[in-house]
Amino acid sequence: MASPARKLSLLLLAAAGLAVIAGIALVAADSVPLAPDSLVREALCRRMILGTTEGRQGLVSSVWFAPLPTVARLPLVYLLPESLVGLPSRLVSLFFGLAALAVLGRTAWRWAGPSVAALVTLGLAAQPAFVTACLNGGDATTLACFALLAAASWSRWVLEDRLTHLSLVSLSAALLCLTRFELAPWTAAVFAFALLHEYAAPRLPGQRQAILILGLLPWAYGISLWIMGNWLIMGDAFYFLRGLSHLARAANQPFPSPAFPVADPAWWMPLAFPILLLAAALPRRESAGISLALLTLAAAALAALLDALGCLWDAPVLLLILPALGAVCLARLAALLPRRLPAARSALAATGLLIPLLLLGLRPAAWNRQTAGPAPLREDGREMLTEIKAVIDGQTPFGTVYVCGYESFPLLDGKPDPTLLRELDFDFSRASREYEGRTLFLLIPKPEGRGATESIHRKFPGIYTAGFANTLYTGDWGRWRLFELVDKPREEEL
Amino acid sequence: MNPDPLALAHQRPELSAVTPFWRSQIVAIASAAVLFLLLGLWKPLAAGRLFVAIATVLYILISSYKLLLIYCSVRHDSEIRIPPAELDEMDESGLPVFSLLIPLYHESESVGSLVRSLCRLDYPREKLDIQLLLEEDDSQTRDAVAAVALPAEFRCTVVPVSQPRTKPKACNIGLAFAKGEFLVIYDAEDQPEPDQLKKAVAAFRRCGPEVVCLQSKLNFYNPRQNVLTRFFSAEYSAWFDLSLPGLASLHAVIPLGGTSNHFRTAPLRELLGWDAYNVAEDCDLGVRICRHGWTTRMLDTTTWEEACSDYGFWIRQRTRWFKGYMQAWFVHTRQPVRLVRELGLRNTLHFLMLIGGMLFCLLANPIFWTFTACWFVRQLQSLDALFPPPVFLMGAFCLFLGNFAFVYAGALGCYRRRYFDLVKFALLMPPYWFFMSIAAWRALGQLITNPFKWEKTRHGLTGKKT
Repeated sequence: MASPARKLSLLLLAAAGLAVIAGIALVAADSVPLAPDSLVREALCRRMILGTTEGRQGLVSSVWFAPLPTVARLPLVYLLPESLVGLPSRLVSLFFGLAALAVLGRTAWRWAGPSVAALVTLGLAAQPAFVTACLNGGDATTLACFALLAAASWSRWVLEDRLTHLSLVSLSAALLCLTRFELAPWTAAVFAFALLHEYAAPRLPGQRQAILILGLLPWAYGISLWIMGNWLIMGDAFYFLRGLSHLARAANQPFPSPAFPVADPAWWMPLAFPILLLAAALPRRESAGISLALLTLAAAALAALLDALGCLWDAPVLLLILPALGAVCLARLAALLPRRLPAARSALAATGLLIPLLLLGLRPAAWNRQTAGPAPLREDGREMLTEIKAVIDGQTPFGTVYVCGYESFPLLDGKPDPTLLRELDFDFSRASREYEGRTLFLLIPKPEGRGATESIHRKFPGIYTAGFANTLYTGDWGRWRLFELVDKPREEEL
Repeated sequence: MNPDPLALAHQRPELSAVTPFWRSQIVAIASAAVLFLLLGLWKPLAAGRLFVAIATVLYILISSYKLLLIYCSVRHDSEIRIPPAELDEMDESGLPVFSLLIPLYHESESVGSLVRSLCRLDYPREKLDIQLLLEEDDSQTRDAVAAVALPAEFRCTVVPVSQPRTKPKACNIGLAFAKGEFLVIYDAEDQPEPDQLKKAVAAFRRCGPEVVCLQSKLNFYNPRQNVLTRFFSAEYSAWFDLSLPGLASLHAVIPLGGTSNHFRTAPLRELLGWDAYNVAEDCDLGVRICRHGWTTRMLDTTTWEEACSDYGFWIRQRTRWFKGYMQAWFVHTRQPVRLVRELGLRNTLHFLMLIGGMLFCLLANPIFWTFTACWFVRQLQSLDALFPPPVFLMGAFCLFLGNFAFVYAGALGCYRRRYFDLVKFALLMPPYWFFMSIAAWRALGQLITNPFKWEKTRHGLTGKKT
């Protein structure tokens, strides 16, 4: 039992830690640009807190906007004033960044002692990409945290055979999928390793089945919840996956910044560690090291595959797991050195970290490229909307605008206007029925990157370039295009 | 000697359930009910929303608390483990006398197996003091005991017919006649691990005098008899292998399990034994131990019991347990300031969350299940009004994540207990929770109408088709 003095010091430490987190997040608000997705997610949270249908739809309906990061921001968005836009996201990313470091440090300490733990943790913490990810409010640190937890727990399950680690593997795999669905194949790789391991390990009757149930359950449940959410809210259990069927078309859409970060060798530097680990672990048949190295390489292979398919739309977010997993591989590599050589372990960790740090420190641009699509601007959108409203008001006093896609969330955030409606699943008949007598307009963002797989572009392919039978082109505002919806040809058109 | 089995009720009535509710409690509950009713009549929607919001916040707190317990039990090994080598090295001549109390009432079928399992205990026979506590009017059991050739360490103590007809009353009489330095309670169908008494002695020697009770783990020897016993085993595994060790790791108040509680006899006497009016006397005693400034620890040894395999008996047994928990809750919260002073704020919160939280969930669950079913089946829009968006989000969190966490914890408990084949049954626990809620509502009714009624669990059903 902790003494009162120890308890007090722990409480003070926790309070100081929270104060530091909040302080860093506030300072970062002025210096580090906010990740584009965080604006979408925070606006989505506000719609959910208001209990709106589009808020619930936004939570579950896209494979590219998985629900967990939104849910993680929800309490903070609820508690903090709306004027502090971005702070909830920054706090969440900072929290997960610190959690990732804690997971890494703890695992490395257990395997290779405090000096290696300190080195690898500091090494990851000092990476410019990691620092940026902690402060920009994006999902990169969340992914890094869960990927680290999954990989480290997996290795510890192989080494120690403790149920806690199996549960953590499964839980973190589930959370990983609910953060970024693109990583589902990587979690499948984790489970494939689990199957292989269980097949080879000596087990009691029924134990193998129990392990598989316990291992797969959180993951299966998480995905089932997402499916059920789609069934309840969208009326189609697999609605969120529909975008995947349009992946090929979306992949051909031009990126706003075609410079390709995956081609940058800076991202691939951390892969030296799993390769070295594999080389060290294979001769010893050390299954924890082998599987850890293979999992890290599998993450890299997945990134390369997504890149080849043209859908690695958020490279800085997804690729951060490579240095994180690389660091844990380095810790395992150090652990494989003979115990009588502690200095060699530290030297290995130090050298291993120095090289990528030097390289990456010289190439900070590699970490900051955005390829998901243009940042949806919350404040700059105000001017555009005013102009659009003026055009519509000049045409009819009874105009209603459907603003399509996820970008509509930040665009309309904080602008309560009953004539501007967010729409994630536009249906022409429903709109005509619900707003009979009003003149309806559609405001559509340019189909770029993953935005090209959104409902409006799936349902009405080519709408942005050519419209469809019931639309009349009205005008362009930057990347946005406005159409008027018509039931039948108007008199002046005949 | 003429022992007073009702000593606690006579000498410390404020700690006994002899008066189930104090006037102040009745006034407080009635006032809250009347206020809520008035609000309901004046503004029904506001009353409904208030109820839903309070319940949802409580659900969040209780779910988080239970998850914390499970986390603590997984993270910290808080059980006292005695390695076999230490047992082998024990000097048997230095072992103290150990008293065993076995209350028997309508247990004629179990007598033979009971004697056999107690004879298997690895403890010097001359240092065992085994009392079979027989009820005066239970001639059937007395005949069955008479028919068995009892070894010398066994003796029979007859409990005279008097009210209340409860197990703790019989135990108090046994406590008065106990000769041992340590004492343990076993039920008629119990099969303790043979080295359990030696482990208890070693553990008591290892701990300081503030540890006056060691709780052994309980589990079942018939977990696969039918679906009910499978669920029961999964639940017990989660309770004894996850939740209680979690409590122990936090040095929190531990509600004792019904049997296999090992005590130091002198402190138990100082506590005036069990509350004869409480039908879950074990839970109450656990709290009183903590209120006195003593502690309970978990001992890594298992007593195998018979899981109730009959639905009717199961409901009755569960009703009694829940009624006893309610009694304990009302007894210990009747003087809240004193409770906080004696237990400390941390342990008071543990007690309120563990016992109060469990009862609240069981009673409130059917209401919210009905809401959920109505929403899914009929899409009742009027229900939406009861759930303002933040409350709805919290409620959804409880429904989807809280429930899953408890199901998963049940499965983990089965794995820990090495009931590998029961892991899949643990996933089907929610229907079992429904029956627990039925028992909780039944218990609430009985608490008001017949608080001291002891619904006897029938044992010896393992061979019967149910």
